[in-house]
Amino acid sequence: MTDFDATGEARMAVAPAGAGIRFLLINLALQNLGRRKARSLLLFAAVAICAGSVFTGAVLMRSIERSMDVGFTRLGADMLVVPEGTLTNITAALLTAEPTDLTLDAGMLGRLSRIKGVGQIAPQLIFRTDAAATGHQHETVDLVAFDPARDFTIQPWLAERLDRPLRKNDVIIGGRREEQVGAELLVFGESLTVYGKLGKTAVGTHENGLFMTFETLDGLREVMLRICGDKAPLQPDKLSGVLIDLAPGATTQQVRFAILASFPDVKVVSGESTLISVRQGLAILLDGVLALMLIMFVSTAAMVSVLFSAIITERRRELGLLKAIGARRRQIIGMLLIEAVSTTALGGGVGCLFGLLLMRFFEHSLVYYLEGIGIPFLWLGAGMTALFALLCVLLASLIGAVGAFFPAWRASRRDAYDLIRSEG
Amino acid sequence: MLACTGLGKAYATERGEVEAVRGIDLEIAPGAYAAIVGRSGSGKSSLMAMIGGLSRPTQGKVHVEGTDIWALSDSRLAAFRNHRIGFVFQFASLLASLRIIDNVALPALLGRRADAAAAYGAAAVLLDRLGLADFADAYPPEISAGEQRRAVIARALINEPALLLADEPTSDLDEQTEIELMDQLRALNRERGMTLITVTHNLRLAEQADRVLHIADGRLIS
Repeated sequence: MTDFDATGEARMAVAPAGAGIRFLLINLALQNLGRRKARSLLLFAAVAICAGSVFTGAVLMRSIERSMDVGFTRLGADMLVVPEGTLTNITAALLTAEPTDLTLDAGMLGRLSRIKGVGQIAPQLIFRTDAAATGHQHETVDLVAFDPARDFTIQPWLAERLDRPLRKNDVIIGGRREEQVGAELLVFGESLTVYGKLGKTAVGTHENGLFMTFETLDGLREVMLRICGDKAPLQPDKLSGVLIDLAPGATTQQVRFAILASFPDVKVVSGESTLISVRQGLAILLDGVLALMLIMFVSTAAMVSVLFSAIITERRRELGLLKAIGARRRQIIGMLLIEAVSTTALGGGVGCLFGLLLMRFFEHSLVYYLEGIGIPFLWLGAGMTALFALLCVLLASLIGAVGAFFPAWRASRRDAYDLIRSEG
Repeated sequence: MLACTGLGKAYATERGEVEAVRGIDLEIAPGAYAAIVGRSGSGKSSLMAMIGGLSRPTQGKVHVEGTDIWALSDSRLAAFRNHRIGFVFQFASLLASLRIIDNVALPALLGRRADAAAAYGAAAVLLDRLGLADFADAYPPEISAGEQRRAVIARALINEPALLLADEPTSDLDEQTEIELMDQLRALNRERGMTLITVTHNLRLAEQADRVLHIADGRLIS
């Protein structure tokens, strides 16, 4: 038999029965859920709807963001800065600079990127040659040098490519060219590897050009100078133009004036203003969806809390009894949390599954709609989707834990006799 | 064994404070059987709850086996109740979703005094002693009220308490079952040397006790 000292502390060393009591308390928690089917189902359904909405919202949001990243960049830059005097062929899509003998100084990039309202900048150098650059007589070829780290109008159009990063002496070919990916292509006598091929864009230079890094073009410079003569674009540190994506909230008018004020010798060409507005509007909409999901989380946690307060009120006698026979406060709280978390986690899992089915069900109409407005819809990968589902189940568990903790904590503080005699 | 000094309990109600127990001094020897009698609302159950560590007194002290139980921290008081005090309530107090044997083993498991196998072994012995061996795997709603009450007694005894408190343990039972149950409690009190305190309306049952305590209007009158 256990002895107690004057402070009531048990003196006897005791063998653990933790597994047994944990099993019983878990069993008790789960059986309680089964005994109150209607309320458990209501709680389950509420959390399933919340988790399903958050999951569906998050996956769609991320998918739309990815689609926008590719889709809107495919629609071209917001602005193009070229040397003053350049003849520009206005198209809906600003995908490349213009082939011209006029050039910009590469030293302007630092100042340009610091102009308020300028988001991304992508410098390009285009050299048009009608010499037999690729071995075909009478062929006009645009050689386009770009910076892969800054580019946002060429690489998003890659329809096929080698399974490795772009490197020196690689060339990307326009969508109308006949060479195969992986083949060797002689350019000014130098052997370049066809790294990738772009999709068709109906923009001449983009469809027929040869795209390479500045480093690759530098390697061709000597032979080009010899064959084509000393033309301006072949001078070091020269650019044909700079493509610009505006920062969120910036307008083409503001940025145009700011650029012209800083660089008097340039010409600024604007892209399709509707597309700029749509892109910026969608970014705001996605932020709104995120805020809505947060509100949903808080309101569901509050609802779980109210529901658990009612559940605990109904079960005061049971909790009082458990306290009377020696259950500690943490055991009471633990049992109630197990009950809440198991319901909400299961609800979260089912919600995600339901969300997944819903997305698959509406996939065709959604994808058709987005592609109809020129945005190729890109679903999240299976791994990321599974990660989102896991996070939503964790979120649902958190809702259960947060919602049930306060009522459970409050009940655990009450005297056992109060709980027993206040049975409703 | 048990000593109460100046014990009092007041409840706050909408109509103001109600004193349920007023300054009770009481001593009960180890192994004794005491019956607390009184009319409804006289403060019997409130007194019992304070003695058992279930309801905090608004004044006074309770010493059980020399321990000032209301000076203990919440978790130590829970451990003390679990190890040293057994309860038989006036309502069916088994957990309906657990088997009878789980209900009986529960205090031993909560107190972590033994491993699960030992707790269930002890529960099986007690069920056998109280004639419930055949119902070990049954659920409470599957057995009679009298059998349920005996299962509650088995649960109260699982940790071999020094003090067994029974608050109107036979209130909803028929006369024959009531007599059998009280006989069993009395026998356990004698066999185990365990102090037994019961609250009852039934004066005939109270007369079997070593000592009868009369309570009226929250005061101990004899």
